[in-house]
Amino acid sequence: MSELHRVPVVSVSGCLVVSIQVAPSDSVIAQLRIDLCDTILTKQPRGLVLDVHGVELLDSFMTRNIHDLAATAQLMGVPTAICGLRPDVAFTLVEMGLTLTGIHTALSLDRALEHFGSAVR
Amino acid sequence: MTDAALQSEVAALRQLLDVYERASIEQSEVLEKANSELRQGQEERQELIERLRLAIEDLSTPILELWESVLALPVIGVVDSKRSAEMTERLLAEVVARQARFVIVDLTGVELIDTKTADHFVKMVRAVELVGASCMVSGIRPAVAQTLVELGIDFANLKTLGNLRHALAQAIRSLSEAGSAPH
Repeated sequence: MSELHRVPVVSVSGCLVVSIQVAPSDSVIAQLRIDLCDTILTKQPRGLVLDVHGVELLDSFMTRNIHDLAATAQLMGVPTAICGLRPDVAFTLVEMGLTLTGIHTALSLDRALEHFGSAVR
Repeated sequence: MTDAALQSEVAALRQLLDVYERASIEQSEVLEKANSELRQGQEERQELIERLRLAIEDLSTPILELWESVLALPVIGVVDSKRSAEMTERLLAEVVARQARFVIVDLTGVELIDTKTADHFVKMVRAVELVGASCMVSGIRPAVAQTLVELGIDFANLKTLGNLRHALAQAIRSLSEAGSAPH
């Protein structure tokens, strides 16, 4: 696996931001999960934002992956939000009966960070 | 029978055939005309129905910006799957375009509801929440409320309020509580 195909875990004002572009492969997701857990352990962030602005197609598998990432982070005590779900993607998810239960969803990265900001204060 | 007699018989028969043929052609022309008139009438009616349908569509789902980042969708009349899909699509696009934080789906104009319609509304609310705005439902009529309870539809996860006014007040309260009103 080349470095190019690694999803970066970025720290922004005490929160972690993972921006997912297009649909990553299994190995990339597996690597991301490891990276994410490591970063959570070392940085102890206030929150985690999974940004899916770049995802135009979300199948059930990918949805499950995103949900699992969020659930893992939440189990480690990091509140998690998903931001940037496109309208058509959201519509399709609902039509397919897939839900992201227990995970906060935000319109944009700004809003997601704002959510964590107000949660701490 | 003589030849002459036979010939005159044949001539008479031929004449008769001619008359019949002419009559049948006339008949078919009349029929054709009536048919085309009917067809034209039907086409006109179809056109009118289509135009009315478009007009209803335009009228039926306005999306209003009630307050800074608060959208309202007043629903009136019967909601079928086609209309609900269109409504949801437009609502989601609007939420993203106007960066809305709250969406109020007002059901004051809905007198009757069945399982399918209720399902459409639940889906609409879920989709709005996935996009990242919080969704409230207001103005559920007593009859509708009773039907929903009898049908056993789970509206438990939805925020429901008495009327549009309460919903808007709630939204404004939440906005000011979050302290996120950088006008």
